[in-house]
Amino acid sequence: MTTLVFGLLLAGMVAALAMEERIHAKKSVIASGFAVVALLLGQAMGILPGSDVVVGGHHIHIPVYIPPVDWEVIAIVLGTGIFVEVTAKSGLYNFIALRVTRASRGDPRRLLWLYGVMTVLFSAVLNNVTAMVIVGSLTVVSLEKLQRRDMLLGFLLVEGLLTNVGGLLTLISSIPNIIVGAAAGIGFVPFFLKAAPYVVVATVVTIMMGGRRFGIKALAPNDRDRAAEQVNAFQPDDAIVNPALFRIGGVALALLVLVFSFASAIPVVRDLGLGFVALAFGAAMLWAEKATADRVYSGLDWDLLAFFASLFVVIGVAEHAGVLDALAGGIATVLGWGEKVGTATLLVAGAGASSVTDNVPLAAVLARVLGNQASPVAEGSWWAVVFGANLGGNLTPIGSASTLVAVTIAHRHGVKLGFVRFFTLAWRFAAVQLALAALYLTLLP
Amino acid sequence: MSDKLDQFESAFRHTERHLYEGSDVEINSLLYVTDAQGKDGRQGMADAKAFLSPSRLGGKGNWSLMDGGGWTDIESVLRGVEEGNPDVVVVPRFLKEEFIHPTHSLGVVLDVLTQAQPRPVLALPQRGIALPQLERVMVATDHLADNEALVDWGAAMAAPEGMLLLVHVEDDLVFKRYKEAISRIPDLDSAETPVLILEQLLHEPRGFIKSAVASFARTRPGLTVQGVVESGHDTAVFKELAREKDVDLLVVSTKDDGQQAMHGTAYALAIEMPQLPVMLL
Repeated sequence: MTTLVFGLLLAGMVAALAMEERIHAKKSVIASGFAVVALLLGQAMGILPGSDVVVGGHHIHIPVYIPPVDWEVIAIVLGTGIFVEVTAKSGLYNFIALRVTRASRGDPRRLLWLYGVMTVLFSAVLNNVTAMVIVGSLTVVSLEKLQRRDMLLGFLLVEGLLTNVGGLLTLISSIPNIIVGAAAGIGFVPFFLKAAPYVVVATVVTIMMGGRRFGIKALAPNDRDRAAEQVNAFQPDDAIVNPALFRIGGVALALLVLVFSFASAIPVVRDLGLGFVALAFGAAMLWAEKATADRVYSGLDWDLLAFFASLFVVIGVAEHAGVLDALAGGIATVLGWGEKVGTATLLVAGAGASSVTDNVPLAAVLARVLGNQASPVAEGSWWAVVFGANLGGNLTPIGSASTLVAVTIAHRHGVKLGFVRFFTLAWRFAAVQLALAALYLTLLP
Repeated sequence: MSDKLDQFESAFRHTERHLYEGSDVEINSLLYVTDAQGKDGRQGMADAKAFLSPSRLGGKGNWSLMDGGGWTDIESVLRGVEEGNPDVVVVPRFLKEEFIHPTHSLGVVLDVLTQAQPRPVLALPQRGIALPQLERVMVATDHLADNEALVDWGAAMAAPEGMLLLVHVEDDLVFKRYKEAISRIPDLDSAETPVLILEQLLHEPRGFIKSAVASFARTRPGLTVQGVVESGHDTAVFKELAREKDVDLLVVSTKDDGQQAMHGTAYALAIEMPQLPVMLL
């Protein structure tokens, strides 16, 4: 009975998150509401554990809603959020984006390739939403300049789909990666080495399909000089808001990737974890903006952070109620179908679920369930969750925040891209990406 | 999300510079209109030719003369201009208006020629005032980045080894009205918003001038090109710069599609500097 009640509560939260836009409520508000109800019910039904810990002989009271929160994940999201916010203010990403635009020489096909690759790399280093905002905004401005507004839909769709492909590239590229990576103990470099071959292939295939589907072709020789002149009107240097911060941001970004890559080999840092690395870099960048740090704080995604904290609380209570054990039974059955079939099924089921609701609770629940299995699960199962949670967002416009940004940009500029039209255009891309992922995962040693 | 998208789109648009591309001005025919007759009329036209001779257009184009015997009133001047269909009308100020005080108007003929027909008019000082040696040309406007033709004409009028001064002034009287409006909108920061708007308004002509300087360095290596971009009272700044830089010819717009832009400033400048030749486009 307890398990059923909390199972329904968890399902109710997932359904409410899927209808976030319709009920006009932020994720954090939805999740915190369910967290309050879960805690009240859990306490009333006596399923919550005691919350006193003994440290050095002293009893310390820790509120029951603190231990379930994965603070490593919160620290990574907060630290990288601050880091990205400050470096973005320097104009670093805009500068790179404008350089890429000029390198295209105004040729639409070359522009699609360059923007596609840039979307993947930005999604890998930043977060998917910021990547889509930067590349999508520039797409609007540069296509206007080239008088090719007719190509806006094709560009935005391809870029939106590639944010979720790029989100697979590194451990910090998306929240599901961070959650699953932390649960499975996958380091930064092993994650990158496993994901990179797939990301390269999926990127190439997606851009080729996009170019063909939306008729984005190379310019005729006579039009090339004119197009090159048009994009040369963009002055990357003008994007540099603060030259000193720009240089610091560039060096810090390279250092961040380096330290993330080798954190597991650096004494002390290894023990403090990736969350510390992210927070330390965030704090260092804040020092560069010390006088206006309040502006940096106002730019952070507090909704996302509050959502994670609340979500972890709901999942924690559900775990005590036996909901995750029940789910683990189902997952164990799927995994029992054999490594290849089980992995592929987990991938497709994860993608299906992720296409209609937020992929974070999905990843959080599945990571906890896989971690709680009686015997260690095959590595492919963890990857199936990562790939399914990321790529599922490409099936529908509500499947991921970054595709929703692509749709929002399209609407702002008069391109109608509703749910049905998005699905009609995107499902082939998503199907090919998932098929490639299934093939790749079954080939993984 | 909309705020964020808007913020990035604006940031990218900010980096988009209107680049000066440059195109040649072609002048095949010029009509010199004067109230002098016979020898005096021909001498006036010869002086005008001599004035333009150092320019890049010097010696080019066929000149024709409409002297005082060829017209009686403003209608006959306009008719003559229509029939001759020149590329440029060259005309001294105060034709048949010997008694007018020179600080009060351009003279009826010149005034009508700038308004009632579409061709550029080169307004010369009143007959009897010596023309300067054409070396320094100043282009004056409040819309430089959108006015490529003005720069083309300025460059065409400048001597190959001369100087071209590109001046853009944001009129502070107009801007003061915007500042007042901003101060009454609660959603806008009254201190920061006007500063940002002014920065953006000045950023565009600065970028345009930079590209023009680069373009002329390639195509007109002997020509010295300088730019001035500032806010202030436009007529006063133009006058001050013309004196300071010892300018020999001013190039200004007199009309846009709505027949309004710059006319007031051009008019004021032409009147307040009666000894300076002015190309009115």
